[in-house]
Amino acid sequence: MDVINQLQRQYVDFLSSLYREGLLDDQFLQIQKLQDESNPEFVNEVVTLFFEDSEKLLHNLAIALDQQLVDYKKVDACVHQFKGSSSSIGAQRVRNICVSFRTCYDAKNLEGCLRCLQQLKDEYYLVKNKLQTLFKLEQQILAAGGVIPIMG
Amino acid sequence: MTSQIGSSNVKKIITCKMTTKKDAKALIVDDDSMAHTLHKHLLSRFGFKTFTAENGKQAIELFRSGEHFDLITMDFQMPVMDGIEATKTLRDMGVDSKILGVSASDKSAVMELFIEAGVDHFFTKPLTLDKLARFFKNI
Repeated sequence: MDVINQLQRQYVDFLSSLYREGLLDDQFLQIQKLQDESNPEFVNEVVTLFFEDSEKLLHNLAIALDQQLVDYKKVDACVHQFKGSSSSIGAQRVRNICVSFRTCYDAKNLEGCLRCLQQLKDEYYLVKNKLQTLFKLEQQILAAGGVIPIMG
Repeated sequence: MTSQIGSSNVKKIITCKMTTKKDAKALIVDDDSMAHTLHKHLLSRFGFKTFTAENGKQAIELFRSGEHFDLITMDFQMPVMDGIEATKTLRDMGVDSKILGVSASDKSAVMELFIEAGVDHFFTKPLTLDKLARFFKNI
């Protein structure tokens, strides 16, 4: 029981830090609340979709910004989708970069766009790494026979 | 504060006027698979059976084939046919389903376009249980 309590405390502390640092917002809690006995893998499912979509979008953005003549409508479409998906899982800092990104492509500022793309990559891989650590902690709790605490 | 609920949450159906009749159906119109997954789970919590379409044109084809949905969540930006055009077309066809416009954009212009097109309400993404509960309470 001590082991489970310790793991759960570690989980709560780690998740709290993600909220404190602005990596996640309340939407992540909303997603956790949707997980239930009929959808026990819901959070994992949604986050995995976010990872898949994000990596495609980052790839497409890199290509779009590497063209001789940049099609800013394509850039807009990618960033808009990224903003939607990051909002949907509560990846707050990723979402905020998307907002700044729009200012750059609205102004057709290529240098600004390239800077934003790098920031987007940095923030995305940071939140991906943190979420993967979170899921590892969840697996450890479940393997020890505990339940995953939901903050609220 | 934490609660020890975890993945053993019991699924609770939230009471909703629209789903007191059996087989209330909701159509999720969005090109994003994450939105499909999220909106399906959200709407099923209110008792809806959910269906999806990838764009406005597919949504219209479903209605033209004789399908009917009590509720539609309509995304703004989609390939082939966007949410504004799809909403206008559905209303011109006489479709009286409740339509919720949704978009990741928080520009008021998007909301105005959706309202002009004939939606019942507009939400900035992400959709949440609270947003839907407030909408269903007021209809």
